[in-house]
Amino acid sequence: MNWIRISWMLYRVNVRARMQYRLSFLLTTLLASLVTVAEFLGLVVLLHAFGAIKGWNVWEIGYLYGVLMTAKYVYRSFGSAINNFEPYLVNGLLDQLLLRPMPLLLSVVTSRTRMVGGELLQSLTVLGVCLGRLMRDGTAGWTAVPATLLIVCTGTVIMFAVGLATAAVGFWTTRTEDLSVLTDNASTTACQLPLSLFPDWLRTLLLTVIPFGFINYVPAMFIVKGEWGIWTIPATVAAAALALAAALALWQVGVRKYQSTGT
Amino acid sequence: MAMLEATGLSKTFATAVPKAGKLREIRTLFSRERKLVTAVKSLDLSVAEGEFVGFIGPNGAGKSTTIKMLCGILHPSAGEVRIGGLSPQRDRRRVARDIGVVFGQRSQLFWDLPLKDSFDILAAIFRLGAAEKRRQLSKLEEVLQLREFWDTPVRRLSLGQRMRGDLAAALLHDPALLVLDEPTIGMDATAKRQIRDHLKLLNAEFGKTVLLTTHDMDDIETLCERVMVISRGELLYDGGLERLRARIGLPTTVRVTYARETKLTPGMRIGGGLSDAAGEVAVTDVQGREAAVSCNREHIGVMEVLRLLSEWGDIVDIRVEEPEFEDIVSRIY
Repeated sequence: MNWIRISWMLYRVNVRARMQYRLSFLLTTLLASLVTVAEFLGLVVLLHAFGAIKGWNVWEIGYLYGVLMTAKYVYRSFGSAINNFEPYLVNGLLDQLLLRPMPLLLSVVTSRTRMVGGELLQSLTVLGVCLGRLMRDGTAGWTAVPATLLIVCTGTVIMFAVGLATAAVGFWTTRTEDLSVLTDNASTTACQLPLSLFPDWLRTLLLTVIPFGFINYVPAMFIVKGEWGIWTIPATVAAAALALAAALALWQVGVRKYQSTGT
Repeated sequence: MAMLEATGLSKTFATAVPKAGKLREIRTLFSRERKLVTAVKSLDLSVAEGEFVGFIGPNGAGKSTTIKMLCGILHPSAGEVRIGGLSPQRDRRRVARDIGVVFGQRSQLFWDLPLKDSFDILAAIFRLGAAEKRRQLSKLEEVLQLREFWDTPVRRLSLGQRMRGDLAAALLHDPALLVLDEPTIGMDATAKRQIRDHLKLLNAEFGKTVLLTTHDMDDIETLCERVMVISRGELLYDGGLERLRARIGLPTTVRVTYARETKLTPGMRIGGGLSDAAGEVAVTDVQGREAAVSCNREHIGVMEVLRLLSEWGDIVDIRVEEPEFEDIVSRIY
């Protein structure tokens, strides 16, 4: 496909532009890694103190964390523009993108790249170590590996869908930063722990409006806990597809409402 | 056939009255409070192939909103746009290939990369083959002379150079219609003159149809055969520059400084003995030894005005000013 080649070229252009400010790039990468490591250590300390939380041991919770964070950073690497959409609306950056003979969403996505190598390596390590341990313990079989790969993909799709819907709301409200703190940061933090810890209303919210529960908790109930049946896998795929379709529909309507900015 | 045609074009912005405080976005989203602002009211316009049309009006008149609807960036609340027979909203990607757009205050060049890289990227986006790109660039080089700053990162270009780069970027895919939103904004006189020469050439030699918005009357005077004036979202004038000028005349303000305090007062008319044809010479402003009078050079020469003023004291300094074009337009309509 021609668009894939163009997207790849734009990705490299973004990286090259980013590299014009090498020191700034190094500093942000370093800081971002520190933040994720600190965040993870916090979780480890918590688990170490309690041993297990409501029947979830350290490795199982580490698995939830690993899946969630891997999906998050894969999404951030290509969806950085969607995740920071406000400037596109406020500064009228979207105007220029609308003048390109490219599908708009592709133009937006390829207009900005964030390099997440460090964070991704860290979350993949956590995921790998935890999954390995669970397989050695016999809690999970070899099928857990392809299943985990699949849910990292569906998880990325769910992250992207929620991000896209949040960005699309901006076509009406212009400002999206506060909303994305709720839909992105808060939901991600919540889903680092098993949903069963939360009150009903929050669990319902995380399985419907912001379906982050389908990124890790629902499929993990089958893959590593074995408590739920194999139906969780098609249910996860369906949830991801539904979320994406809904977000795309909202985006389509939103684009027609785009107001641009005055000069 | 008309290159560009708009019928009944309207745009009403419904903005939610923003809320303050916690979770303001969410509360704004669900608030029923809406403020309706009509930016463009039922505009009809048509531009034929090869024309160079100026689109002018005061700030907030709806110029940019109209331009953005013509290019497919905004969706009109009512009415229809046709560019080469296609709707820029429904067929945005097709129309994007037929128009080149430059916003003077923004750039579509890649800020941190050498200028030439932007052309490589745009050529790929517009799917130009290598040979086609080379041909286009050498043609544009003739008009815009880009080679001297070919390898300079865009962020280090001067405003005039950047605009030449942006024009080339907009023309790379060889569009028939060029839409320019304030292309000379912020430039010094030399750069402005250069850009105007380039635009003239693009229209005359390369046959590009050009629609230009500007606040600079000299842009209009040197470039446009036809002018459209818009104010408060409505088209007030559409026709030749000559006829518009005849309607406006040559309004001028003459400022003089007297050797001593002057007895002139604002609102006074001087030169009572003049014939009606000379029009009105009225004092608009007095401050100590300084006085300003307005007149129309179409009807009375500046020397004559000075002679009238000198009857009121010894003049030590004079300044002649032409008011902003927008001021005149809004005063006339």
